[in-house]
Amino acid sequence: MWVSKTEQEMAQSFNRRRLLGYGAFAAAGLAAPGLLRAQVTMVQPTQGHHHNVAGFSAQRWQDHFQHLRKGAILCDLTSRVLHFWSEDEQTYLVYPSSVPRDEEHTQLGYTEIVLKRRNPTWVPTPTMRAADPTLPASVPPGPENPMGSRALNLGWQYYRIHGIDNLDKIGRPASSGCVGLFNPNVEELFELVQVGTQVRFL
Amino acid sequence: MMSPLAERLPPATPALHRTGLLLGLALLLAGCADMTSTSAPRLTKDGAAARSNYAVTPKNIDAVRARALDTVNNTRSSAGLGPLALDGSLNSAAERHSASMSRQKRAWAFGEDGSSPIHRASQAGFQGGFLGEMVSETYQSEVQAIATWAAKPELRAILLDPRATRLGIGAFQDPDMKLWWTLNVGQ
Repeated sequence: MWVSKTEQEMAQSFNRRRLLGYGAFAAAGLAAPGLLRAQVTMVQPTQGHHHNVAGFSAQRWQDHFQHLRKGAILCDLTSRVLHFWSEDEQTYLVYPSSVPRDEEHTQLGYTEIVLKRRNPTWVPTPTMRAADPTLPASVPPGPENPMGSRALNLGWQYYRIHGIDNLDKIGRPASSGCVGLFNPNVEELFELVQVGTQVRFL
Repeated sequence: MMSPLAERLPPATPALHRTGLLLGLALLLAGCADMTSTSAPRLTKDGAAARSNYAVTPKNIDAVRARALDTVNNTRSSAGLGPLALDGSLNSAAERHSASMSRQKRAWAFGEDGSSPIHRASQAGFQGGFLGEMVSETYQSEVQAIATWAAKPELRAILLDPRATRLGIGAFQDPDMKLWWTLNVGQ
């Protein structure tokens, strides 16, 4: 076939990889360990070719929640997508979202909505102001507000699902831990959720 | 469904008339895009494009899809998983999204109309359960796109979903030969 190497080539290739070790592969941006474990690899990504890739995984609420009382929100930080299921299962929404910019800012697990705010005032966290002393103490509602037109405060201090000031953040690792949505999307979601709606960051 | 590809690719033959035989021969040797072939473009043994101008056309898309299907199924087989079959609805949904990504100049899951992969599959008439989507913006072959997805754990999990039985593949090529690949997986 087009992509199958001969057994000998595969054996040589596999031995070479074993000699190089995983560190060398990680450094070269090559095969993940899963491919090595599989042993029979069809093709390897060739170094020097640029691929800008992304993926989306479908989700079932049953894999994440025991029930849908008050509805459920799943923030899939890998696919950079927010899923919402209403209590009666008649509404299922999938929105693109911004996600935390790195692992240090990433909180995973279960929480819930504790407060709903229309046209929120944004108050940078102490950590944000320590990192960037030029940040204002607060930003009033309006187009410059990083929380956009709605904010859903979560049980975790400082974490929110909110709107956005800069459309380029959506679908990208751009936040300090929050999940941002396009303003029309967060406005629609806002009307469908309540204090106590379950939230999972995956 | 495939016509935008042909219309957007630069014509290869007029250049030969304008610039003379020598340059024409040089272009041929360098590998002009063959717009009439029904064969998939040639690959190196690594599955990379053998020539710099890797062209996916309405004529060869079926062969490209067949090769992509083989690549996916070989990858699944080596992980002990069953093969997928091409699905017309998933192909259509993937095709539509590849064109949309080109217009948006962005490789991601959402259409410029806000459509999610699930929504597009449903609109294309897919009756099964939608499982996942992968996209790539590249000048490289479908085989290298699949290899790149397979090397990333979070994307590999979509490719190796044990529930999967159906596959859709879409391509859109920009005038500068950049390719926008979409791969849909369902059951």
